[in-house]
Amino acid sequence: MNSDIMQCDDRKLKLLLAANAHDVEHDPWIHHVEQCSQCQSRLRELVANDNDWQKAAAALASDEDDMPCFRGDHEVTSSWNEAMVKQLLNPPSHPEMLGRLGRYEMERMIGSGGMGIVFKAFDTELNRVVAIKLLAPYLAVRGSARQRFAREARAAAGVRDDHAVPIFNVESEHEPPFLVMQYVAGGSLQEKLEVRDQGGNELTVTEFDHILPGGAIETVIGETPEKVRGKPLRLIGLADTAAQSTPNVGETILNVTPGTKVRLQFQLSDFSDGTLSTGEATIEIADHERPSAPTPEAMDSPIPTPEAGVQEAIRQFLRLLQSENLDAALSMMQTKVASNRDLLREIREQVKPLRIEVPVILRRGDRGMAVINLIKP
Amino acid sequence: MPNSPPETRASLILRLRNADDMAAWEEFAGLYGPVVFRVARRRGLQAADAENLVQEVLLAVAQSVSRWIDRDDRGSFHAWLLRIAHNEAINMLLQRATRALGQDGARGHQLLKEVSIRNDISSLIDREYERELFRRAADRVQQVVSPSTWQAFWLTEVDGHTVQQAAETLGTSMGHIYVSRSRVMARIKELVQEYEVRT
Repeated sequence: MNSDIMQCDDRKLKLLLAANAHDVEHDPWIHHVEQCSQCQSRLRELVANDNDWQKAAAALASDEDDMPCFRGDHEVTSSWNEAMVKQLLNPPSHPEMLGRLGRYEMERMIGSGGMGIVFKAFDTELNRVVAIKLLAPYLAVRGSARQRFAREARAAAGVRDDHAVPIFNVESEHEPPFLVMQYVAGGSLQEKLEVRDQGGNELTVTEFDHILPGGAIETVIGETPEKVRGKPLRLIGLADTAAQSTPNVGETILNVTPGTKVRLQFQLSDFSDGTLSTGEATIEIADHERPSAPTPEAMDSPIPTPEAGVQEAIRQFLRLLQSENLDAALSMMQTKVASNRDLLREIREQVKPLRIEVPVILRRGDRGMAVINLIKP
Repeated sequence: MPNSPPETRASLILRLRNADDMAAWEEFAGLYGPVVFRVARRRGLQAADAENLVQEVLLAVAQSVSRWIDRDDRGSFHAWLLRIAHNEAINMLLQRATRALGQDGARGHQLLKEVSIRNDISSLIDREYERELFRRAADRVQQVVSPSTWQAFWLTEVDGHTVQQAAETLGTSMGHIYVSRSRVMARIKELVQEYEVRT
């Protein structure tokens, strides 16, 4: 088709508008539009009048920077208010309470999200303050959401740790389902995440970001602050907590043998400005089978020098870590590995990404546990 | 002020009858929250005050919607919501305006001023609601068209580039720019009409 002999045609222009961008069949007409000022205007008129074009431009060009609660998101995800949640509850037995759910008196709403609402409540039978997570009613009608909720409750109930909130009760048959857990005063990880530096000073999330170049934080238990997620991290020192020391071992190898779980002190550093921070970490590797423990003879054997064979040095290093003999492993790194770049590189390439759990202190004094997956720089 | 402001979706109103249906509330708040917030900001409220106003409006709606649905003469939901929004906004805004007006003791002047403020707020709400519909529609369209198609629209209509500049920026022909931007606008317009027709 030759665009020079094409005649302007509204019907063709409408087909052109309705066509897919990748539909080459209409290319001659696109070429025609390029040449034809009449069709350029007509195309615009067919779509909308000038007023609508201006409205669209004005709506999209308007500055939203001064509207923090809706910036970049036209959906308000936490618009629950007390009037709305009261309708999910039975009338309270005390006028100052929000409502009642079985034996639990709801005091106030302390958080909400896509899955549901969390209340501070009082268990009238056991006389204790609890937190109650209520599955959103519109999710409760979905079998998959209910199953997921119950799974989460079972998984959480199976964890016994100082850093995990205990689950007291689950009412999965209730409408809507809810789970009862320990009430922990304070804010959420998302609000403020803090770690302490060497001097005991609290660091904010921003500072936390700043001191973690090199690997990657993938998960933080609870709600992951956007600022922290995906930020790089490099561990430059580690030691057994029992040793009460934090030797600086330079570019420490962070990946150890599978099946081990060791508790370490660590030291984080931003290599650009030398900012340091320390903390405690539990290192665990669970990706593959745990090798057999080294024999006492093997443990007592002299640590091979790099010259004796890189592979043997690596094996020895990994055995030391596997047996949780960190002092010896660190000693080896300091005396043998750190001084040998080739050996260091070999070890780095052979070991797998490492997961550490880092205790964090929230601004309001709560403690939490950040799970950090370290990857190779 | 438009003669016939867009109405709220009938399906949403019906679902509001079921107070347990929080998804409907999310949708409602997602649509009207930004509108009320922007109106409040344009009327000079601080961001925190504007957010409070949004909450007050939502609360007022939550408390009143059942009564509104049961009324025979209830009229349009949007108009009813606007009245609540107007009242909440006017209550807060008049407090400031009348403080200054009260100094000269001119009651008649004060009333005229209040009427003027009401009209301003009414116009702002209508305009912001309409803009919100365009924003929502544009968001959806951007998700389904190719980046270059979207950019053809954005560069020429929002950033104010000429068709030639946009073509150079995107490395394509001016014909593609003309067609692409119109395709985007056509889909935005369809969606806006769809929102309005649902009422």
